[in-house]
Formats: sequence, structure tokens, C-alpha cells
Amino acid sequence: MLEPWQIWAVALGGGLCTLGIRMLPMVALRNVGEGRVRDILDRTGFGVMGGLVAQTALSTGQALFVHAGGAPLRSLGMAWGILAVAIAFGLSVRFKWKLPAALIALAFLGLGGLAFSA
Amino acid sequence: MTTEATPPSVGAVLRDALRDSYLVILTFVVMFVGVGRMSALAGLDAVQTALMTLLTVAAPAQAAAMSILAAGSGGGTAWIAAVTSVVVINLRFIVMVASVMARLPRLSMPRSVATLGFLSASSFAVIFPRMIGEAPPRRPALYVGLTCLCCALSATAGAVIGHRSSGAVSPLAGALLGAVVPTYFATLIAGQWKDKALMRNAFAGAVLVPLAAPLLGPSALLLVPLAFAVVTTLVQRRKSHA
Repeated sequence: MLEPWQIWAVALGGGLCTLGIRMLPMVALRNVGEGRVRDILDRTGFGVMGGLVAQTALSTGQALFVHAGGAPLRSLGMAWGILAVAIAFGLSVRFKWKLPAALIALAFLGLGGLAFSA
Repeated sequence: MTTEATPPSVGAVLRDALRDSYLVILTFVVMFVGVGRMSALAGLDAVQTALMTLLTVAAPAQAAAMSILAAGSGGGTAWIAAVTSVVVINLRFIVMVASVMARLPRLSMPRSVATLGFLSASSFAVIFPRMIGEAPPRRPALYVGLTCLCCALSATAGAVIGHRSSGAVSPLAGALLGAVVPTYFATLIAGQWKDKALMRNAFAGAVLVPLAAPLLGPSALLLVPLAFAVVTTLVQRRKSHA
């Protein structure tokens, strides 16, 4: 059983450490400005977004299909999640949609989850 | 005669921020219900849950910390392991803050903290494409600050709801709403389709981060895109100089 101060240390300490992490570039990278460093940061930003999309697509696809149980269905759920993201991306590139593309992909994902967990 | 465009009001910037981030706000409320539920099981009260969520705004980090506390292993040092897990998982914010900062006018330290102090992965995904797109916000610092704050407040609201009422959202509905995040973010990435260098990096992140995650853990989201961006930028520079 944790002491009350230890729980406070996690709640406040975790929060303040995160704030400190966010402040690091504010202190260390004051002159990012133009040029190579900004190019690298722009590209890194999109790499982070791509990674975030793939990871959340895999985990939500797996979570949706997990109700039916079994490893093969979890793998199918992950593939279904990636396919849903690809649909959203493709529709957005083709028709310049944002919300409609996301909703169509979401419907595809949801229908798959319902069908396979039935 | 020249006319200077009037900067948009705070209300107009807030409307702009809400229009761009409402899906994340909605998703955050639902997503953080689960975090709040885990916090309650780990022994945090509602105030501690709200405070940690507001300052952290990172569901994976909070979930990891709460799992460590709830497991109860490690005795008196469990709290150190929990804080360490939050720090390691949230190191990814360094790159995100630096990327957004590079697109902002130079700000004083207090204004920088107010602008970027509540940045989360999801608010970054909303803000960043907008900042480098064809119509960047006219008051960028205010836009970034308000978007981050709206997302952080919705996360806090979700966590408190989850702490107070466990089982508010069914697992299936929660998973489905959680899927809003990747599908919507994919459309935000697609907005920069014409920039092949950014697309290459986004695709590389999508493929390489999940592959590297079992080896590198949460740091994969920080290290892999950074390494790929450094290599591709240097290769491109070398080609253009040749």
C-alpha cells in the first residue's frame, strides 16, 4: 500500500516532469528558425504523426476485434485498422475530404468489429 | 493608401481552434474515461487524477504509471517506477514541441510555456499540419495555446468522469471512438500530399515505428522518425550540392 505522499509524487511529479520535458526545447532550441534544423523537425513531425496513426490504428483495430477472442482475429483486427486508415488517407487525397473521409473509414472499422465480434 | 489587416479576436481564434480540434476533444473525453477509471483503481483521488491529466495529457504514460501502482509490486519504490515510466514515454514531446516552436514567432519563456505547456500528441497532430499548410493561423501562438488547452481540458474532464463513474462507456463503444484518432489524423497527413519529403517521412514512421516499438518501447515514436528525418535531410542536401 502506498503512502499518500507517494501517490502525490506520482500525480504531481509525473505531471511536472512532463511539463519540464516540454520546456526543454524552449530552453535548448531557442533559435530553430530556418534551414536544416527546421527541415529535420518538420520531417520528424510527420514521421511522428505517421507512427502515431499506425500505432493507434493497430491497437484500436485489435481492441475492436478482441471481443471475438483468439490470436488470428486480433491480427485481422490490426490489418483491418490499417486498412481503415488507408481508406481515410486515400479518400482525403482524392476528394480533399477530412471529416467525411474519417467517418467512412470509421464506419468500415466499426462494421468489421461488429461483424467479427458477433 | 494601405490598409493593415486587423488581427482576429481571441473569440475568432478560439472558434478556429475548436473547429480544428473538436474531434480530438470528443475523443479525449471518451479516451480519458479509461484513464480516470485506472487512476481510481490505483488509489488516486479525483483531484490528483485531474491534476496529473491536466499536466500530462498523455493517456499511454498515465495508463503505464497507473498499471505499475495498481500492480503493487516494487513496494515503496513503485512510485519511482511510475514517475520514470511517465518521463520515458513522454520524451516524445521534445520533438513535437521543437517542431511547433520552429513555426512560431520568437516568444518569451512564460509565453512559450503558456503556448506549448499543454501540448499532447493529438493536439500536435491537429496543430502541426495547420502550421505548415497553405492557411496557417494569423495569431499562431494564441491558436496553438488555445488548441492545446481545449484538448487538455477535455482530457481532464474525461478522466474525472471516469474516476467518478466507472463503466460509463462500453468497451466496444470506447474502442470505436478511439478509432477516430487514427482515421482523422490520416486525413490531416493527407493534407500535405504534395510534399513528397513529408509523405516519405510519414510513411516511414507508419511502417518503422510499430516495427521498432517492441525493441525500443515508447521511445520508438521519438527516435525512429528523428533518425529517418536526419538521414533523409542529409542525403537530400548532399544530392542538391552534388
